[in-house]
Amino acid sequence: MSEGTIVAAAEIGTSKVAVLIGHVSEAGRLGIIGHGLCSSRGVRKGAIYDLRAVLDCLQSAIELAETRASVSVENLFLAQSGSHLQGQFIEGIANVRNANGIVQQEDVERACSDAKGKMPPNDRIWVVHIRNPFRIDERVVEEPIGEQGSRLSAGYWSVSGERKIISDQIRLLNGIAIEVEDLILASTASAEAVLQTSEKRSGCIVLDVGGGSTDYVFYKDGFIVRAGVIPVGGDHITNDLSVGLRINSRWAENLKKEHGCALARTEDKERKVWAHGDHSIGDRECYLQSVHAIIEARVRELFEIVRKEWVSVLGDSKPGSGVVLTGGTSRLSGIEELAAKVFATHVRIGTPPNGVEKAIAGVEYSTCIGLLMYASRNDTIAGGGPRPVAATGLLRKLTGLFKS
Amino acid sequence: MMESAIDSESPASKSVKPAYRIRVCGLGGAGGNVVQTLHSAQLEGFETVVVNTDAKALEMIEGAESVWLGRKITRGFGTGGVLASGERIAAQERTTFDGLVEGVDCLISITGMGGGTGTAFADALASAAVRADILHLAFVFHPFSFEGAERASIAEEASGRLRGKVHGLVIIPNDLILQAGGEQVSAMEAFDEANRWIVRALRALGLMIFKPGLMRQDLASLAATLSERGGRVLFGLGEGRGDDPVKAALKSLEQCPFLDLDNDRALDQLLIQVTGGPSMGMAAVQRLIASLRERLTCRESIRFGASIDADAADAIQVCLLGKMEIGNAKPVPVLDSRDTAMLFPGGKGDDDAQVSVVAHATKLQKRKAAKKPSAAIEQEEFDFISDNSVQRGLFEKSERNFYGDEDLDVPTFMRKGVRIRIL
Repeated sequence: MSEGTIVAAAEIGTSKVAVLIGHVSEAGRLGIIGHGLCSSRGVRKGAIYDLRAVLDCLQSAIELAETRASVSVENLFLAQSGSHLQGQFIEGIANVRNANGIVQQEDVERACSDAKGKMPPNDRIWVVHIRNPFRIDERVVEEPIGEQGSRLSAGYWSVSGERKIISDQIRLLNGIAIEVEDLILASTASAEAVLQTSEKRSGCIVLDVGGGSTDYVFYKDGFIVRAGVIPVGGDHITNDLSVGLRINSRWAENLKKEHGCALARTEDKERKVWAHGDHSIGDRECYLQSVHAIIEARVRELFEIVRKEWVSVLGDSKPGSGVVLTGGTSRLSGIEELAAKVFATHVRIGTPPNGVEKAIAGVEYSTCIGLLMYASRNDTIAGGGPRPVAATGLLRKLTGLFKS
Repeated sequence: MMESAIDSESPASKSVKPAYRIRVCGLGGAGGNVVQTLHSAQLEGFETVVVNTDAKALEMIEGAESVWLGRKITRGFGTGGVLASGERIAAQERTTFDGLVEGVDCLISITGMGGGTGTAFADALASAAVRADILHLAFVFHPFSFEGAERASIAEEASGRLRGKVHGLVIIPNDLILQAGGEQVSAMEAFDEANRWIVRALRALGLMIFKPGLMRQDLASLAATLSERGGRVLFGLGEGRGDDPVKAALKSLEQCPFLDLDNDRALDQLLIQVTGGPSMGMAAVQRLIASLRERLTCRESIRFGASIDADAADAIQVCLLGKMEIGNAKPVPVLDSRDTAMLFPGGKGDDDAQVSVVAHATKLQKRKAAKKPSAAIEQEEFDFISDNSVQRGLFEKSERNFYGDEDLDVPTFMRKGVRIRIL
């Protein structure tokens, strides 16, 4: 492993902690050389509530990955999710200085830094600035340099997170002698893993339905115009089943996996299924129809919320490339059909690209693999040519984080 | 009413038995409806009173005393869900509320929480009961989720306050009642269903208290089970018939909308009342109790009552009343099967035979007396959040998850009123 660089990424999810180690060759090709998985403790609805439990999981996942890859990890990219994240649109303005009104590199930089210089809301720090198209005098341009105009504006969908939550995670990793290279939004990482460039261009919705939360990204014309988190995931389905059918959550989880379906079908009204199936004490039969009705209500609501968000950003337009579902809960049968109904568009299940080891090839690992892809790309960019403003990483984001 | 019930069944004991006065108070519109249902269900032995500001609603009440309050403030109308006006009336009518509890041995109040009248009156009546120092068991309905977040939070807050003042607070979430009904049930029927649950609850309590031979002991056991004010109550009803009535009764108990059996916290006091037809065998009772013991841990004492109801035919009914004091002592294993066998030394043959025995699991009975009351009050606040635990399940201890005014952690089917068939 003499040539190229090592990149590592970690995702602390509600149901699992995943750590991946990749090798990026000099030609920029990414290969995954180690993975460590550990079922998660101390995380609920995408947010960490027990740091110590999370640390244990994280440590064992890192060790596993390190052993498999035969390298030791010193820094990694960390995925961010959870309802504490909030996005807002920010815009930086620069007047074009050149007398002939041709936009120069320097104008672009001023517009960008003007936008990023804006302070996040109180007690929050920026996690990521996702660039939206530049506009010159309200005209959308793809590449501003060389265009003519008087006013250049740079727009960003900027996501901020609670200062305390993020600093806790960084401290946690620092405590085990690991530096956090950068924070990456889980939703954009998943999108990175499952989308084709053409889909980003024609516009699409990526929904990563995980255990405790759902991360979504809206693409339009190749740009992410909105990224967000809804703290509802597969655990909510389990809980709904448990409450609705009055069975314990272990059985509800089993019922969801064995017999779950996101569409309540009307046939077979009388069909019953065993809650647990092993005929253990207290096991009982439930109406399959009830199971489906409970799940459909939940998943439909989740999709409706996402659709509402889409409408608030992009109006009645439809995403050209439809909806791509990923994350563990996208394994739920019937979820594609339900999404197609709600969004009235084409839906597919997005799996990570081929060539990934079988253990991590499933929809559950989209975020983590995307994270690595993101990280490797960042790294190659950093390797050659001037490092763009967006890649200066964690240091800038964290300015002032540890003050006082 | 009560006298006749006693007379017909045990004329000999008439002269020595004090007549217990148990008053059922329906507060506000929903409370009044329930009391009205009690009347039509011909439940005997209880004194029934309806308190409301709405004169029209009171006019419809039959067979119960009605008390009309706040005529100067609402001019005979309801409070329109405005809690402040309900509270104003309650403050002015303090003496009326004192009068309602005077000379009563046990007060059972029924209120629909979240509105203006009932919410305020429940609090005022509870205060009066505290002043008179009488046993008070309160049944409250919590509003449907679709009635809005504001009503829900008013109801929750009010119930939290009420809990500290009453001996037992039984919360009946309307959402769950709706779920328990069959398919295509109208709103009216859903409310009726809620009322029926209360009727069943009171019938079970009535059987326990008014059936002959055991009067004194049984109101006393109720009082002992509920012990002090505050704390949490576990209340459930189940009924089974058919080939295996015990199994059916347990299953139905498990699905009782206000019983949270999954809560693994130990109870301090437990009262189990089993009622069955003349053919009910002691083996069945034993099996029923043994299964319940597997599910519930009780620290101090368990009381069993078993009665034969001639009208019950082949059905078995079980009523469960448990009390949790707030505080964390270690659970003590309850009776073993040997003790249970002792409790039921062969059933009596005649129709109205009753077996009711108070059994003490351990010698720890006095321990509770030493408990510091201040600790109980401090814990109250923590416990309050879990009032909704039935609905939030796994997410009980996590922060609310609001989207608009809906808490996304509460199952969607409940918030949207999707009916689920479970039986």
